[in-house]
Amino acid sequence: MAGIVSSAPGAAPTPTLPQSLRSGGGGSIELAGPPPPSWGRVGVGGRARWKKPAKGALGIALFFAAWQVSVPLVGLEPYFYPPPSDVWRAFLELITKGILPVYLIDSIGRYAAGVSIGTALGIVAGLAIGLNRIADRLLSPTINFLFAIVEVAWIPIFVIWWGYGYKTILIALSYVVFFPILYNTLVGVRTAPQVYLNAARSLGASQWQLIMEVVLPAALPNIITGFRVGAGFAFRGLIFAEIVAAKTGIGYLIFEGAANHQTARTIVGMIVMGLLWLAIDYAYLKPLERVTVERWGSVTTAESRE
Amino acid sequence: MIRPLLVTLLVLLSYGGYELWLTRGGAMKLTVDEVSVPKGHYEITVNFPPEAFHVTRMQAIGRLIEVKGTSVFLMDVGADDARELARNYWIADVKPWRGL
Repeated sequence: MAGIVSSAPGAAPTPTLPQSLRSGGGGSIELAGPPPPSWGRVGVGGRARWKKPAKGALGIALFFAAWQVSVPLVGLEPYFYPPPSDVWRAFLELITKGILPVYLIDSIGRYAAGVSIGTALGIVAGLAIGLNRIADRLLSPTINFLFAIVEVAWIPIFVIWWGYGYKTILIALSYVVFFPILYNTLVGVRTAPQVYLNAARSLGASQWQLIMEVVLPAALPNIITGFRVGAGFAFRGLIFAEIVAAKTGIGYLIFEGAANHQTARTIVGMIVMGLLWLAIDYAYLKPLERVTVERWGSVTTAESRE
Repeated sequence: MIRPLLVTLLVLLSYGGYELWLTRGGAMKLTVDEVSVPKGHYEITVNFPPEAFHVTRMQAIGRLIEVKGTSVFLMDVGADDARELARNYWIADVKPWRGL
């Protein structure tokens, strides 16, 4: 009688959704954590909303203060251990000299292009393999094998094949994104509820309609999960690819700064990289996750219940 | 899903504004009369002693003759390349040079 609750003796049973379909979907994994502090409070939402970022900002400020204070105590040369004031000066200098804007635009362009291509190919390949048993059996071992070979190992080969520059970086990033998307699409396709497939077939859905209206929506939370993982991998891949195969970009700035004993510039590159990831996560990945994975999929977070 | 759209719009607008600002700055540094020839020689003044980043960019568009202080002397630079170079905000001035 799962899913049916009698409201009163003798009354007609009231159908309810099974637990697995409520707040987060089938077989949901509840990320453990205390209930949000704003629960049950009225009128403090505005303040509570700012409390978290304010605390985060305070933590960052304390970190930089401790860093600045520690430099004279450690007594190392700025080359080994530059203070944050030097890093700030290097940041301003990189902007004044027009280096940082060019590197940043180059890196963002490469990242966006690589992630887009890898995602598109991953989804198409995942659907094609997931929907075809022969292709699945033929290609699964090869995919497993290739998944284990990280992009770092491929880049020297890519450089031999396509030389230094844009093409190699683009291929490396697409490769990095491709596999997590492919894997997750495959899982999504394989776990598409059979009952929906049967229902759609019995209603006369064509193969194309079956894919577009049942399989793809069912696989979407997995695809988004794969995208999130792939986007993170691609960010790391970007740094390495730019170190090896580029003469511009934030990865190159990190490498070039260290090679020229301009450690403050290297740290600027690292900080910009971190901030860029936070911005991408805040602006694109989190909202995307909210409308797919947390809504229909396998993960609910404490934040999503607020 | 409004946030990604707003952020994308903001980024595109900022980028467009930045490019517009560069183009306006470039037009003031290098007037139309100064790029009348298809391939010219130019003295480029940078706001600071140029680094490898700046020299590499200039080498890509012409023959680098000399770097003297904050001035860079380039030969055989195409008109479009000269205009493109003048757009960079770290360049103070671009003026025709008689060459060697």
